Amino acid sequence: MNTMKYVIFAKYRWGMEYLYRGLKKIVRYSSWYHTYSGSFLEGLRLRTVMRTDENVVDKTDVARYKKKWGVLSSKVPVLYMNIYPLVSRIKSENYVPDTLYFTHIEPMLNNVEYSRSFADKNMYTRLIDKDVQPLVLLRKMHGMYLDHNYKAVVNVDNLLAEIARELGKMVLKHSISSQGGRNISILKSDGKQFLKDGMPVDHQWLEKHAGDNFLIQKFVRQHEFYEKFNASSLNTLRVYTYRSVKDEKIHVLHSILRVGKDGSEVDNIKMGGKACGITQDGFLNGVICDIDGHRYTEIGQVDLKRNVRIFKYDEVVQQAINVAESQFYSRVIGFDFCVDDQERVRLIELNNYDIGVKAMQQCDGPLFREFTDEIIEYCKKKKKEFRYIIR
Amino acid sequence: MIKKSNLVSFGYRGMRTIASKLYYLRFDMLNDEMYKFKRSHLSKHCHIDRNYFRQYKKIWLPWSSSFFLSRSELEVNCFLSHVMTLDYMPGNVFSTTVNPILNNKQMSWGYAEKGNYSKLYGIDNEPLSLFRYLNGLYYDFAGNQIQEPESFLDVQLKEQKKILIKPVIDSRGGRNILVFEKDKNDAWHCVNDQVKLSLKNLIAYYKSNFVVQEYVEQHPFYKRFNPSSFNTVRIYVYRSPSNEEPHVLHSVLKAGKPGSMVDNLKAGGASFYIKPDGTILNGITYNLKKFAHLPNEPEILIENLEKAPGLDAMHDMAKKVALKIPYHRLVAMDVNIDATGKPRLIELNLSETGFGVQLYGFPFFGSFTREVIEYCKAHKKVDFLRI
Repeated sequence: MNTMKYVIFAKYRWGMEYLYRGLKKIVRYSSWYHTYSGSFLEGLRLRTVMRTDENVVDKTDVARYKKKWGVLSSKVPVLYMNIYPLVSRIKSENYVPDTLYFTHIEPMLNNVEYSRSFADKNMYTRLIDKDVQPLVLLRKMHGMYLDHNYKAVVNVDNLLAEIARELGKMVLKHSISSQGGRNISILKSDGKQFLKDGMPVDHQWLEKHAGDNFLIQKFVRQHEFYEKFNASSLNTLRVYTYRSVKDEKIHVLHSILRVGKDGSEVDNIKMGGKACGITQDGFLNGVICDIDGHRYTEIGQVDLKRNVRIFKYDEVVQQAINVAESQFYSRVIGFDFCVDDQERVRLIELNNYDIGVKAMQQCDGPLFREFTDEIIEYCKKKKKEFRYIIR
Repeated sequence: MIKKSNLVSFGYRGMRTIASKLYYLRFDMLNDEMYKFKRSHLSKHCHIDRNYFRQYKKIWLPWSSSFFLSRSELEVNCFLSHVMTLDYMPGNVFSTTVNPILNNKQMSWGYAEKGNYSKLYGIDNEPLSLFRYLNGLYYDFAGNQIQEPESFLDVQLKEQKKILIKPVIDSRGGRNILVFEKDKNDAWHCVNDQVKLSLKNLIAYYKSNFVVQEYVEQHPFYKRFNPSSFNTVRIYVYRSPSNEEPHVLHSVLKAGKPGSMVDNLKAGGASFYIKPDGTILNGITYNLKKFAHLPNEPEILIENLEKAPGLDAMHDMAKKVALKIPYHRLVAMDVNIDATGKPRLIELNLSETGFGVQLYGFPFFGSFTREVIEYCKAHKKVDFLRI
């Protein structure tokens, strides 16, 4: 009798297994649809706010575009081919559809599961280079308070008070998933303690408001060149690198300068900031746009008519290449760098998943440039073993 | 992005929740089934009474994601060790709730990578990594990129007589470990498989990553348990949230089955509990067979053996490393001492730690059990569906 019960139970368990696996597949598919629809709606919104019904492409272009990207997915929205050239003034079938980028291309080029821990801001000092990041004053990792050298901090309040006496400002940000300027706060000192919205920032405040994974960094004063674009925000260079599937060499695909909204403390484009295109030689290419795809002819106190070269551009690019070489699980990476008032290049953020590509394509043309075909070919080969990632 | 398609988001979230619940239920059933099988090896008279099991459920079930506990599991733990306690951690509660709260598996990959321990943890106790292949890139022992991997590997291999190749991440249970040895004609041959030693073959075998390491000769004491395998001591270290200090919970020696190259229990090996003072307790196989004598020297009683050498050094190294893995409060390390007496860190197990020690009558979290329960009640777990 017992044996029989056991056999029935075992069978029941395998039924459960199938049900679970089936449901997980549905969740994967839903996750894909969820990302796809979000991205597609954003494209539609952009077309609406740009107030354009103008078709910059004809039927032949559309057919070519669909044929090119259709090898990766049957759903290839044409709207990106229409909206990006309106800003960049570059007509091409190589514009990557945002929907396809997030659902297929990025997860195939980067191993999201493995690379997540490398995007942790508290990991940079340990894995990359001690001096590449602005000085970390205090960090919290999985509930544990640590100092710059990863030594346990016993009395957080004492440390904060000590810092408040020495520094006027510091930056608090989440160490995991803080892309796009999310969860970043500037804390100001009154000489005795740090304050946030009038509240003293102490151990208790951090426990309540900052979560289990964050870091507090020394406030970076940017170089005067970058300050001219907008003094209130830390304006960063977004450098997009790609490790070629053909020769395993790192290539810088595009760079843009992100400038915050007047009065804003962050340079986030979603929060009213602007993106300025940069040529491969490090000069401003004259394209400046905002989240709605509107073009601008001027920005801050910078005279665009003069050939403006980005300060320390070569050093920034070299630093991006150096770091990208150590990121073996990610072929595409979006770096955020700044140059401080001591002329030192600082890594602000490394993005290896959900990297925004809209501003890149608007400011500087197709994302993958001359590597587009090799990437499509690579993804086509990987498509068979590819599973949609669950977000 | 999520806010813009609320309907899709709502449906998606609902689906995710159902999938999670099914995952937990599946785990509960799997655990129960496994212990029912193990229970069948025990006498029919080994029975836990209803009230005792009810108390057990009261402690573990209300705050966990599991739906039910396995009575067979408690019976196996209690009657095999003859220690009755309600502190035994249920396997399904550990997997569905405790482990995902104590350890953030999403962040574990960067820390578990073999060949990188010296850079990450500031130790020189890892076997020397001669060569690493990571997602299309080749690295030398110092982490520098190699442009001509084939010739580099040839040069490195000339100096070796025996090497070990394994995946950079996730080689638990001896998975995909290859051992190569030079024969009289200086030709490499694989000891435990048919693979021929060439870069092309290794890439085809391992696909995305592998590491080539020197073969470490183990200490003669540990070799006695099985000379063919490298027998490691699994040390469980727990970092307490109350003072962030690492504590060694248990040490268990794992020995492979005769002739095996790996110390995997499921493949016929055995485990031996090492008490904090170094005394070794009797062996238990995966099928719960107990034995009191050394497998290869039946005349020697295990309890008469000298104390495990190098245990303190291994514990110190394990605690030092555990402090540098911030996203994991519970770490299981496979370590041992080599022929020269130097402690060696063979592997870090950050997500699947296993906890067979309860069969010896030691509750997994011991004196920290209540603390762990309180911590789990107060903290959220990592989203397993993303892993």
